[in-house]
Amino acid sequence: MSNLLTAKNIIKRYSGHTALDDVSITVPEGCVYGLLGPNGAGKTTLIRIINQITGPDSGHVLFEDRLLDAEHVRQIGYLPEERGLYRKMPIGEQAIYLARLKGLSATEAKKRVREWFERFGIEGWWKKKVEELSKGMQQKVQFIVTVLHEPRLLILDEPFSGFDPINAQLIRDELLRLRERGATIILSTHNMGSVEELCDHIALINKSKNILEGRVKDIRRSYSMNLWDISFRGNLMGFTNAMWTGAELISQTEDEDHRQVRIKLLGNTSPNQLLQAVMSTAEITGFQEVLPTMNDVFIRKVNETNGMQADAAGTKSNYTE
Amino acid sequence: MGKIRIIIVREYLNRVKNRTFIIMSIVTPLLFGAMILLPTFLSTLPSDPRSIVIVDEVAAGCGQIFNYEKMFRDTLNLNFDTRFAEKPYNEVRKLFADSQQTSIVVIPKSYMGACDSTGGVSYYVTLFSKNEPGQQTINYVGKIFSEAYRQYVFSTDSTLTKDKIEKMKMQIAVKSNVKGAVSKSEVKSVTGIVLSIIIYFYILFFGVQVMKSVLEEKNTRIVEIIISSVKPFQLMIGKIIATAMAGLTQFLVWAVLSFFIITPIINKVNDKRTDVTQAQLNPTAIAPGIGSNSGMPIEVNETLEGTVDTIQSIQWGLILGSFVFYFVFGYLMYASLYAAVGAASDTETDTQQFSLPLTIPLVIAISSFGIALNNPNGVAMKWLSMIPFTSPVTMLMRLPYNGVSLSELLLSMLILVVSFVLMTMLAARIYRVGILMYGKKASWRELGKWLFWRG
Repeated sequence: MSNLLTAKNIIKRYSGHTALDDVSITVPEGCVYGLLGPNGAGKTTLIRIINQITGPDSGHVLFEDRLLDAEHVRQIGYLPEERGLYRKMPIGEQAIYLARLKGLSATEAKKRVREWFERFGIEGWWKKKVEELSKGMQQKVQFIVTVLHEPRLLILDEPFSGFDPINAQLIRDELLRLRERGATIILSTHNMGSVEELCDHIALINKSKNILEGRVKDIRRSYSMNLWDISFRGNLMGFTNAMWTGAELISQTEDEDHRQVRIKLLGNTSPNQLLQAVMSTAEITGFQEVLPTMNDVFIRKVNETNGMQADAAGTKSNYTE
Repeated sequence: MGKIRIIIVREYLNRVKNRTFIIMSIVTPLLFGAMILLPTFLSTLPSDPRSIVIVDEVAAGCGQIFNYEKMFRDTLNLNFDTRFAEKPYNEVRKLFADSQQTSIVVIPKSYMGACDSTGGVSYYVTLFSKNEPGQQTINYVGKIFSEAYRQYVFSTDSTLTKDKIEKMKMQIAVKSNVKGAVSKSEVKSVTGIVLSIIIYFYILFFGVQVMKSVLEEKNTRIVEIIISSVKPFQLMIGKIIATAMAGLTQFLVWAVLSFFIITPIINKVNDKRTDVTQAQLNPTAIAPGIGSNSGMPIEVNETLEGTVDTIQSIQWGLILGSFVFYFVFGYLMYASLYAAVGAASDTETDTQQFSLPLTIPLVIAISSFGIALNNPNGVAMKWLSMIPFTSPVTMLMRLPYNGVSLSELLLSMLILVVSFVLMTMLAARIYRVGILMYGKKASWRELGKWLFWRG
C-alpha cells in the first residue's frame, strides 16, 4: 500500500507556544487514519497545514510524492470541527458554490449536488436556507459539501459530533462506502468507539508531539498486558489453585455454574501452559485474549507522556469493558 | 483568478439580492424626488406675512399715475407699504437691509412709457428680495400690475382693439431678483463637496459592509471551508471587489430611476411655472441682452452668465478622472482595512475599537469642508489632500478651484497608491490570522504580532 500523504518533521510555532513540534505522520492510501489527541494537542493545526490553510514553520507535507501545492486543493475534502455555512444562502446554490471553489465546473457541480441531495433524501430542500434547517439537516449538507468533489483525501474533524445516532450511522456508512471506492480518510476525533470501529491507522498527538503512530491492530497488541478471558464450568477455588503462580485473577463473574474470569498471565507463562494447568479442574468453554481498547491506550500513553507514570506495571489495569 | 471570479459573483449576487439593498435602491431616488419637490411645495404654503415696499420711479419723476390704495390691497400674507414710494431705490434698500421678510417692488421710470421713454419702454417691475419671496407673492404682484396696466390703457386709450388686449396679456412681468444668487465659488464648493460626500459615504457604507461580511463568514465558520479551497487573500479581495461592484450597481440604479422619477417631476414643475408666468412674461425678457433697455436688472444677467462661466472654468475631465481614481483607491484601501477589522473581531460590538481609528480620518476629511471653502489651497488642505487616509475626500474639495498643481495631484495619487498597496498587505496579514481566531477579541498588541506571523 503506497502512502497518500506524508507529513515530515512539521514545526509550527505561534507567539508564546509551539503548536506542533517535529510531528511526522504517514497516511497510507485507502485507509481510515485516526488523528487522536487531547484538546489543544495540535491536531487542528496539523489539519490546517494539510489543508494549506496555514503553513508550517519548517518541515513539509507530501501528497503522494509531490510537495503539497494549490493543485491539491481539488483532491482534498475538509469538514472542520467548527461547522459552518452561509445562513441566508439557499443550500443548493451554496453547495454548488463551494464545489466550484474546489475546481468543479458549474454544470458538473450542479449534477453532483443533485445526486447527493437525492442520496440523502433532501432534494426538496434545494432552495431552503441554512437557518431554516434543523441541525441534523445542516450537518448532512455540510457533509455533502465536503465530499462533493470526490476528493482522494477526506479530512474530517470530529465528524460525528452533533449527529443523532441515525445520522451518525448514515455518515459512518457513507465513509466506509467512500473508502471502498478508494478514498483515504483522516479522522480527527475523541470518540474512541468510532476509532476502533473505523480506523486502520492512528497517530496520537499530545502536547504538540506525535507520541504514537501505527496500525490500530498492532498498537493494541503492543499494548497488550497479557490479559485473557476464560469461561468455564467448575469450581473457582480449584481453578485458581490450578493457575498457581502462572497467572493472576483480575476479576470474575458467575452465572449459576458457569463462570467467567479475567486473568493476567505472569512471567513467561504461555496461554497453552495455563490451559493445560486448568483443564483438569474445569471444563473450558471459552478462551480469548483481551486487547486494550484504544481508550485505554489513549489514556495510558497520554498520562505516560504527561509524566504521570500510571500503572506502568499494569497491575491495576483490567481494561475497561 | 478563476476562483476570485466565482467569489466575486457570489458576493455580488448576495449583496444585490439583499432586501435592504433593493429597498435602498428604490427608496433613495424617491427621496431625491421628494427633496426636489419639497421646496416647490413649501413655497405654495402660507408663510409669515411679507412686506412689499413700493418704490415708484414714475411717481418720483412725473407724478403718481397709480391709485395705490385701490391697487395694493393687503392680503393675509402680504402687507403693502407705499410710504417710501417716491424715494430712490438705493435709499429704501438700506432701510430694509436686514429684513428677511421684505421685498421691494421697483416701478422703473420707463414703465409703460408713462413718464420717460427716452431709453425705451419697459413693462417690468422688479421685485427685489433678500430671500426667495415664493411663487405666490410673485404671482400676486404680477396680477396687481396686469390689472393696473389694463386700467391705465383704458384710461389713456378708449379705442381698444383685440390686438391691444393681447398685448396687455403679454407685456406685464414681475422679475424676481433674489440677492445672493449662486456665486462662482459656491458652484465650485458645491461641486467639490458633492463629490467628496459621495466618496465619504461610499467608503464608510460599503467598507462597513465588507467588515460585516467578513464577520459573518467568521461567525458561521464557513471561512475555514472556503480557505481550504482558496487563499485568504483571494477571498478578501473578491469580497472587496464584489462590494464595490454592488455599490456601483446601486449608483446606476439610482441614476436610472432618478431619470425616470425626477425628470417627470422637474418637467411637471417647469410646465406649471410656464403656465403661471406665460401670461405675464414678456417674451423678450427671456433673452438676455435685450434686457438692458427694458429695465431688466443687470445683476440677473451677470449671475446667470457667471454661473455658466464658472461651470465652464471647472476642469471637468480632470475632476471626474480624479474622482474615479480617488474613489477606487480610497475605497480599496479602506475596504481592506475594514476587512481586517472584521477578521480581528468576534462580534459586531468588538469591531468598534478597531473601526474607530478608520472612521476618524474620514470624519476629519469631510469636516474640513469649512476650511476648503475659505482657503482651498491653504496649508491645512494641502496636508489633508496628501495624507492617504484623508486625500480621497479632501482632494476632491480642492480640485474645482484649480489651485492644485499637477505635480501636487500626482504626488497625492502616488502616496495613495503606495499606501493602498501597503495597507492591503497589512490588512491581508491580519485577515489571514484573524479569520481563524474564534472566540476571542484581539488586542492591539496581538494585531501587531499577527503581522509578523508566517502563513
